[in-house]
Amino acid sequence: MRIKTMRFGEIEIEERQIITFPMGLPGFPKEKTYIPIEYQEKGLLCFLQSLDTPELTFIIADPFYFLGQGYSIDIPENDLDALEITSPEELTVYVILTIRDQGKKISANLAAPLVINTNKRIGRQVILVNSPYNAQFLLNTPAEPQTAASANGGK
Amino acid sequence: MLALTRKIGQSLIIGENIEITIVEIRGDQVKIAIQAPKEVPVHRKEVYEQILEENRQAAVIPETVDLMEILKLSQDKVK
Repeated sequence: MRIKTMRFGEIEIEERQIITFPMGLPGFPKEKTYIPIEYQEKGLLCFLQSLDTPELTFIIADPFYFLGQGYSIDIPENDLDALEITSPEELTVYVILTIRDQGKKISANLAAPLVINTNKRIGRQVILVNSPYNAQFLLNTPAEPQTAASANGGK
Repeated sequence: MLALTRKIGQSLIIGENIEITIVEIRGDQVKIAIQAPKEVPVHRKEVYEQILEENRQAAVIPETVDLMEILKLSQDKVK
């Protein structure tokens, strides 16, 4: 099927790629269906494109790629049950990235990861309770502005 | 917004299957027990709002974002 997106124009997608968030996301309760558009096919970094709203795209990242095994989280039982997850192999975790200051600040929301049942293609944003993790965990330090953004930013 | 007064041990039922019970009152703190279907997440409001706001800001992506630069960040983060 074809979908309209602001960022990528009109694109062809397969229904089996669609991920459903039955509760939407905090701030976006109405947008419940998305497709991941992978960058470089490694699944480390993706655009998460809304099917409902062409202008809505998130950048999501594999937290273990950026933090190694240092990202250790407890997903509440209720969330696992709601996602019908019974074993660790069934789930994938992504974190939403926020880009500020034209790329000078790139942070990952480690406090509320996206947890996805990979087989059933359903997910939810799980707000961790009593976790040491930051909703704005900086991936780059302010001393190292992203070169691409410095060249292209500040219009 | 509906305001109801309850004593310790008393409850409210919201809809068909959400129940809120006042468990304990100590000084200015109230301990509240919530029973809800597992699909319905329950959060402290200020925590929820922080995530909501972060999502709203994350949804604004500059046109010229370079994912290659972001991918390179992991190599810098070797622990």
